[in-house]
Amino acid sequence: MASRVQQHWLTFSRMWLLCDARWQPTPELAKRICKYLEGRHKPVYHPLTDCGDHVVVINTKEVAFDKNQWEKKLYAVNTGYKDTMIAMSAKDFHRMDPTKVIEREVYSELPKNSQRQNLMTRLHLFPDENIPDNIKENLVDIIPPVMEPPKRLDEFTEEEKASWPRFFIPPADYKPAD
Amino acid sequence: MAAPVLGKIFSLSRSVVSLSCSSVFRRTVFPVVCAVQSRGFREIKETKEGNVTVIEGVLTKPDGKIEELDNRHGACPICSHNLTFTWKDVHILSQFMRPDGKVMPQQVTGVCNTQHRKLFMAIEEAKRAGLFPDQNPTLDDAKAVRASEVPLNRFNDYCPPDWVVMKRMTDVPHPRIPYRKLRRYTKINPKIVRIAARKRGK
Repeated sequence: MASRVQQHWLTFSRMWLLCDARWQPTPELAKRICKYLEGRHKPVYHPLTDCGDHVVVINTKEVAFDKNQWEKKLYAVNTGYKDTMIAMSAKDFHRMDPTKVIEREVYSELPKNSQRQNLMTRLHLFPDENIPDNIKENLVDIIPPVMEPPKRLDEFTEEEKASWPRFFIPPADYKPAD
Repeated sequence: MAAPVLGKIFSLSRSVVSLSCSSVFRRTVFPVVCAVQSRGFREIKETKEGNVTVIEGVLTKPDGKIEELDNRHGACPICSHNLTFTWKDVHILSQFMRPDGKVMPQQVTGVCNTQHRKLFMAIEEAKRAGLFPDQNPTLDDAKAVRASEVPLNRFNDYCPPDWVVMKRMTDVPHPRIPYRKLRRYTKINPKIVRIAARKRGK
């Protein structure tokens, strides 16, 4: 480094991070995004210094929930009418707008102070992999995923299937009927 | 799965940290056994030589390595190899499955009770997640066909890592939340609900 000033600017610079939400469980993903938005992944963290990073989330329409939660979980929706509020299941809410589920989850995981709205403006959500060019140029690093997406039987090649060792071979008499 | 995305998004000038994908087989133990074809499914073949027709059952190769499994003591094939599997391990589950999408019976596989229960639950969870799209129930089983036609998995489902078998089996299926309970917390305008339902196309 030529001078200490340059190093200071580099440590406190704001980075742009990429997150793939495909097959990720939403509550755990939201906690992870909160951590990077606040800046808790940095050793120079302090709540008064605005040291959080930008987070760009792609493939939000392919986010995952636990067994029954797509039907059970309810989100409060403001209709704009007086004395009426709708409780929408996560399924319908996701159909309405595929980015809003993650938005709500991150909003509830962030600390409930005046920083919250400021940090939400640094969250960028996209349902597909289509990202505007302005943001593509800024991306630097990836947030590690919570869960690796599973592979279907179709997606394995026949060579891979042949390389799997067998722990059980069905007997010659076996008929799968009945 | 972010690796193919990177190729599209990042330009060559930027340096990028690549994800390290852990292997699928990090938990399994591979047995090392010599290969001898002794068992497998048989196909019926008819050959005609003049007046004589020969109908025989010919051994076919299964879709994998053929190993002579030495199981003299009748041990459970999963416990004896110290296997731990979850709903994601398709390479193990597909071996114990019928083309219907059901588990093979315990008498055939020789699997112990706890592992059979775990297989059953894991296969159900994998089917819910959509990992076996080709294995659908036959038309004989009307109940299963009706259940599979209902569009359950509209979006991705996942199962948490430490699941307990007995807890899952006693889970009550979630009822539709009745109107009288919703009114305690929300005031619903039934007109809006009806309009929203019509828009969805019910």
